Amino acid sequence: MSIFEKIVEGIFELFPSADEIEINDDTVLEEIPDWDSMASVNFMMFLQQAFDIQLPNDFLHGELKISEIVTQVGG
Amino acid sequence: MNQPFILSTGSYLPDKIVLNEDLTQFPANVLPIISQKTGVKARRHAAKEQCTSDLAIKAALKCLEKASFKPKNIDCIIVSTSSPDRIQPATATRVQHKIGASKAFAFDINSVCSGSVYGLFLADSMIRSGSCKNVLFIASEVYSKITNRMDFSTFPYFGDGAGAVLLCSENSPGIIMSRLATDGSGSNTVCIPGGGTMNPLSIAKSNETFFKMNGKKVFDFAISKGTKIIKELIKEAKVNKKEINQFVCHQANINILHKIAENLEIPKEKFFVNLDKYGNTASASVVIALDEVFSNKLIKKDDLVMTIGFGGGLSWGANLIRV
Repeated sequence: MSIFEKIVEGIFELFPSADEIEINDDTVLEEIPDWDSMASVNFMMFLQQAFDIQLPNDFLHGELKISEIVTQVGG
Repeated sequence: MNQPFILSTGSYLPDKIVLNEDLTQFPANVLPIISQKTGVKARRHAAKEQCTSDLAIKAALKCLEKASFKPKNIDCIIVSTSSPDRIQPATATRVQHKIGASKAFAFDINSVCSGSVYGLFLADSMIRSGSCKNVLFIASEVYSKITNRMDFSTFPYFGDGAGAVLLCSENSPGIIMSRLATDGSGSNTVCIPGGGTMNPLSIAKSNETFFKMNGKKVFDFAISKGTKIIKELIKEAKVNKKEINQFVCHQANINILHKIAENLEIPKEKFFVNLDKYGNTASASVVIALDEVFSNKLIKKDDLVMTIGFGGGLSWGANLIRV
């Protein structure tokens, strides 16, 4: 499974309404239905656990693209 | 005429206080978000061996003791809960047995966080109809056992607790009027997806057995419908909002309470708040708050109080009460 696929899987897991949109590299987080600051914490925890990394506290924000997340967690 | 008068109230909060900083399963840097976004600074958690009826029993006994009311004189026990002991039988049945209310019939209602205003309406109707004289209404919740402790969008905001109200038939007024509403198109907004007949335990995924909510939708819904139901009840009861001494609202989020107060141009000080200490105790929050309003003598005889609830269903409602 690619990094992108793993991230998308996590999004579907955490945001059940995410299947209402098509998620690609250019999708920004605030486009995900139900995205809010509370849910973003769950997403941050998912990324840290799934990729065994520590992310900067201010890493996740609404305008962040999926491709930027892929770069960060893959780097 | 049979008028439902509130003879007594009681509440019980478990001893274990869990502060925001105690939620070490979440990154330390996100913990300030809890109080910033909701006003919740602490919550109570039931002990490992405590279940919903245990909390209900303690609240009920406190309520009865305050009025020196004998359990055998209770005609009916209604327990509001969205976190029952078991899917069946009704949590109320164990309460009936344990408090010694042998002549009472007992059953549960579940209207999630609006359960208290629905329950008060139901108790009111039963007394007004003449079918019961003494109704014990209890709301009890143990959300610490139905939320996922790793889910930041639910776990930090909820707490455990129970409240009880003893309503008796009198000639003096008590619950003056209630107004309830439901919009079932939002039935997925707040739910436990697994464990019922729609998604039985045998096939449900493990994370589907926990409570879930769409916080953003619930926030907007609560402000909109909370404001609307208060306006409607004030109009229908033909009272001036200034005559209402306390607004006892579901304790979901301080920002919801402040926004409703602002929308209605009512001083926010008139909205009772204890969510900072207890978090959101779902249907129990309104009766716990009502008990604290009485206990702290924030209202006196003949004052008007409005109780307001909103939550899963989606459902919402309000009761206007003369003390």
